[in-house]
Amino acid sequence: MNPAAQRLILTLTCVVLLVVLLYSGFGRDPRYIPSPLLGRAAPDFSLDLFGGGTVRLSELRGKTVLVDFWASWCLPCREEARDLEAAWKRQGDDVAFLGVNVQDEEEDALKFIEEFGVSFPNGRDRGGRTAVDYGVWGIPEAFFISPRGRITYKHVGPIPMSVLTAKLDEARRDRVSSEGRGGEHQAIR
Amino acid sequence: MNTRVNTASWALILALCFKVHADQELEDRVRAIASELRCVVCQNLSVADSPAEMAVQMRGIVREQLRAGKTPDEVRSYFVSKYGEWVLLAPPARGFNLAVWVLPFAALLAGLYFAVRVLRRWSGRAGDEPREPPDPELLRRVRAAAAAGDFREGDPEDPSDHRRTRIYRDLRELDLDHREGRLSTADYEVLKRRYEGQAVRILEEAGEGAPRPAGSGTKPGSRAAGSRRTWALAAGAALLLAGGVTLGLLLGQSLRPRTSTEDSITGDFLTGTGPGGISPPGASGAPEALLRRGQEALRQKDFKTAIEAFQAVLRGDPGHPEANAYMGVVLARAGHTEAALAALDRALARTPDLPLALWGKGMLLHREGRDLAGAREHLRRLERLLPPGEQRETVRSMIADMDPAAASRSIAGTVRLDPGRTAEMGERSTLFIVARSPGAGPGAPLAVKRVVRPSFPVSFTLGPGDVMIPGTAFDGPMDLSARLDRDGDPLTREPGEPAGVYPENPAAPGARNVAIHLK
Repeated sequence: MNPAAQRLILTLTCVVLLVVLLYSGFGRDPRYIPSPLLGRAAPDFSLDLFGGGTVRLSELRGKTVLVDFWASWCLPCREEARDLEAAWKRQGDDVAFLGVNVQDEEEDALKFIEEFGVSFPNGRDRGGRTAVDYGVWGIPEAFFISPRGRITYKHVGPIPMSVLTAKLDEARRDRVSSEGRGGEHQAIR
Repeated sequence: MNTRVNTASWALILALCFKVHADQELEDRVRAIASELRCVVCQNLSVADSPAEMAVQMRGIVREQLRAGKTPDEVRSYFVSKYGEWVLLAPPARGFNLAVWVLPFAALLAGLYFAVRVLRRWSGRAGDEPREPPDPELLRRVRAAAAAGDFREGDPEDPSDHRRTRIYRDLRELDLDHREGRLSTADYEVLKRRYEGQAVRILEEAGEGAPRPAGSGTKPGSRAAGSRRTWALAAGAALLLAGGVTLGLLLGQSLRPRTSTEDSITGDFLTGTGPGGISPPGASGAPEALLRRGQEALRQKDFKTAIEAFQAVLRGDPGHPEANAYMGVVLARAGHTEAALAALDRALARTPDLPLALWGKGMLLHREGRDLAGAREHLRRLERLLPPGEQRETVRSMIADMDPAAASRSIAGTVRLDPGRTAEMGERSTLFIVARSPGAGPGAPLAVKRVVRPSFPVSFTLGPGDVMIPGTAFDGPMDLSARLDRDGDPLTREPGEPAGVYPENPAAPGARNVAIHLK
């Protein structure tokens, strides 16, 4: 191969590499944080419930659990609240829903629960420890936990009913699927 | 006894000093670790620098783990295990991340290497190097003359002879420098060839040596090489231009000014995110763009463009909540109350929790005085949607103002500006309407209403929602005054700012038609 052709190939390779690098960099949403927790054991936590009493995640081992992080000021949380409640009412005893209220005021959270008639257990995450333990960055975020205690799926943003049903079913069978996001944007504060 | 007390006090003081010192040291360690962690709800801010609630909680966790005896590495690993390496502001130099660390230096080295090569090539050409081997006969003569120190050959008045003589001298000095080790052999060879070439050319120009047949000095194929070089240069320039244009277009499409603190500077074209946040999938098409254009026009008070943009969205989807809400706000401003209410109702029918529509309808109902209970209800719903902060407080204060009991106590009136002083209105002009208890002296007034960039005459109500210290009763006689502040900062008063007092001071709660004239 003559030197001119070599130079051309070298230049083209550099240009292509640079374009690929720029494209992959600019093509990423700088705010999106992929979770390293998928497929791993769900961090245990204890939640002081609004209605009194405490629930510990490890006590729910053997059930499929949905842990939903929310706040009363978060608009997408309001969007999904009624759907979550409706989905919860349709589940049997083998499924548990837990609402974790974050970055909020207790009075506002209680008003929210009353407004949407939320009947599944909800409690406050004081100090944000549980949220950080689950790598939460924008709410609402829902984690699906299999009866074996593994996180099988994470959803960022309000969760559509069809996704909720399908992912609960996968969690029941301990099948891990990649995390997703849907609906309106999630809220951050 | 006394001694024991003193000893105990000293022990306490020392213990406190150590505690303060230890606390300070712990805070320093917390800050050091927090400054390496990315605030997960911010843009380009570390956990140490961010005021966000999430960052405060993360700092608390760092502090807690350090207190429990974990090492900084363990604390960092904890956050990485939850958020991935993304959470570290400086990515560790391994795997793909290595590229981030290595590429800039590699690019710098490559650039330096390229620059040196180009410079050497240019400096090689700068001496006007002979492009073909010089005439051997003339070269021999030049070398002999230089070696013999024949510096006075020819006519000293002839400039070409003078140049040749100088070159001979240079050649001799070059030899001397090389022999004494002041010049490397490579440089010596290059310079010697250049000087000899120049001297031969001078001899050739003087008509000495065998005449060369036309074209004999051109190497076969050198013309073709020259042509190739021209093409290569042209192609290089075209590629550079194309690269620059492409990069400019890409950046132009994907970078934009932030429109809010939650916005990022990248978006639109490449990431599919619009201003203000991440767009819902499938909504990044024309309506989204039109809506943005409308919002931007509204911000710049270009109502015509804003209305056109919102109408265009509504043609495609007559029930579009955001477009209807914006239309409602614009129509309300223009005084078309019925049309505004209809648009806001359409917005709320589809999205009952749309903050802008709740605000618009609440304010409109209040302004028209038709349905104060409805106005309060809408603002209450809005209040529940807002995170704690200034906006929520404003809405709360408005709800308090709308309370019928409060409304009966509040003072209503008008502030006018002297026509001769309208020219003093600026971008930051702010009207302060102040109520003070008579004889209360300086200090915080009882209640204040703030109107940014007022449009005179200003109708106002001052009520329990405007009290400066929450919980204070809006009661008793009060002195009313108003002032137009040029810079909008109530703490800085400039002399000569338009101001006025209510001529019938003191006013009683519930007073109506209070007129204040600013002069």
